Amino acid sequence: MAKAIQSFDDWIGLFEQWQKDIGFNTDLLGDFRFETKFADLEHETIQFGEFKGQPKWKRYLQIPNQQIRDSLQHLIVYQGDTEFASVEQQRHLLKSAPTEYDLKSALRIMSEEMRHGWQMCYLLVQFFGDSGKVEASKQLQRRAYEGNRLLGAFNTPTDNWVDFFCYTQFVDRDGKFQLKMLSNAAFAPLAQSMGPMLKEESFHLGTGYSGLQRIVRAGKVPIPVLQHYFNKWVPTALDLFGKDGSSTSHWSYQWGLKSRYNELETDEPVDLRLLNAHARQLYYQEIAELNDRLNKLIPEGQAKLRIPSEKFNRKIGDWENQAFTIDGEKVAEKDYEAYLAANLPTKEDEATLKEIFAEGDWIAPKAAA
Amino acid sequence: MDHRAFFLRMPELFERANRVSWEKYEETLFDMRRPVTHGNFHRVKQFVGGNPPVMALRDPRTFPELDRQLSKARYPRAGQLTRLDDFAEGGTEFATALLHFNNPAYPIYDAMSVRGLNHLGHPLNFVREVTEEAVPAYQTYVDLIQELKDEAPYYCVPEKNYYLTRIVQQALWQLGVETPAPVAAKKPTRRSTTA
Repeated sequence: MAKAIQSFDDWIGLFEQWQKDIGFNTDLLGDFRFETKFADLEHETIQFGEFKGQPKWKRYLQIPNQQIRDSLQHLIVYQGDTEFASVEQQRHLLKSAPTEYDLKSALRIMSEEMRHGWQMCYLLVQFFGDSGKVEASKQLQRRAYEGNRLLGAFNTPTDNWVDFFCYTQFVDRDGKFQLKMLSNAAFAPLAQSMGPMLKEESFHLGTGYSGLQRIVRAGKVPIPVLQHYFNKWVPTALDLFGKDGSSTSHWSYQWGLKSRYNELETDEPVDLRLLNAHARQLYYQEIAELNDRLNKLIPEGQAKLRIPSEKFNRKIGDWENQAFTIDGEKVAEKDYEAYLAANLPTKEDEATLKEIFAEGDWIAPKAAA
Repeated sequence: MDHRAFFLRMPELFERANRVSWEKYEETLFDMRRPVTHGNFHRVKQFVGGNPPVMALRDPRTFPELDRQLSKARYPRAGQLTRLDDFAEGGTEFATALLHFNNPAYPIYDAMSVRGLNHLGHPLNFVREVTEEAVPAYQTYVDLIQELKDEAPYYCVPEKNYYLTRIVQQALWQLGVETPAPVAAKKPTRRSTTA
């Protein structure tokens, strides 16, 4: 049962309790201050969907009907839930950071993810009445490590720093896509929240990608082991885009709540049946391009890293629970369990990494220009 | 140039400046630890150009005291700069580099980045030595860079594991390099301006 709150100040009390409960040492935050941040609106009018051309809604009661309000609240709840969950997933890594700058980076990422959750809860409390207050409280009751966060990726353990860099490269990058799609929202306070969040997210993505560059450059972590971590996180991130042919994304678009990723840059007509698939495809293209750059750091003659096929190990969408290899080839059902076990991080991989971490020098002190 | 035009050029300006300095910058960044060691100190000095000050090499009390002073710096307050005078042997660029590598929210202060700010319409001077007038000058510089960080649209911020301070300051530096000097001044050298 969610604890009743009357105001955002009450929610802050719950937030401070949540920090204690998950074991986050707030002394580490230093100068960081939690605050809500709103950017100026890039566009005063709605840019897509059936209300296109009308002024953006600045207050709850300006939202045309209850269905749209509920749908909007749902989007904010899901976004907020991922923010708190990621801190729960990563908090224990602070004890084993490879360098002081990595420690600072992880701390900053966690602080900013908390701030993003704070921002979403501020919207819920300030604009969505009693149900918003209940939902804001519930954000701090679910726990990633108890497996009850709203999306599967955010209940997946993040065991070590290879996980962390893959997570910030692949899962946070999905976050960038979601935030950008919300940055065009018809509800002005949500749209205005996204700019500062996206700006902070650039550091998170840079940390993930440069972390992978540094690992590859150091040459200590075997590429096949790193590949297993790619195989773990890429399908998880692809699932985060949701079902193909989703009616939720159809209506979110139609009502001007969530646009296409490239909404303001494309002249292509929208295909409302394939909104999630479209965003996923752009994401896939982006990570494939980054992977090509990463592979340039691997010496000739060694195995290269691959982005697994979008069919591999999917839990959501057209390829849900079907047996495919990382190259997208069909696998016999009877062989699939063994195939997965051999291609996802194994106990042996974890032991290898533990040994490499103990030896040190597994991550280079520079990434690439 | 107005701020909007600067932001739209920021990724490209940053990229050009960073292409030259990234290697030394990252090696210094990832080497830093607390308490500050002789190696860290030396690296920061090398980063801004030159050998470590003689005093720092000789006096064993230097590093604990430097560490104590760096620990007291509270961003965005610039007052701690005067306490770093002895360690940096007078140079504001080195003193602010010490601050930056201790807390990357503090920008490195150099003549070219100040010139970049001048080009954006902010009339401030570069004060080379840590004197009394250096603190308000650096404070203005810190505040202006903070304003630019707050104002920058997200799509002008490159995906990088550097603090936004560094991205903005490097872009300003590149702008400064590209901007003709107001009077006949010496051409800047990389050695003294890559910070």
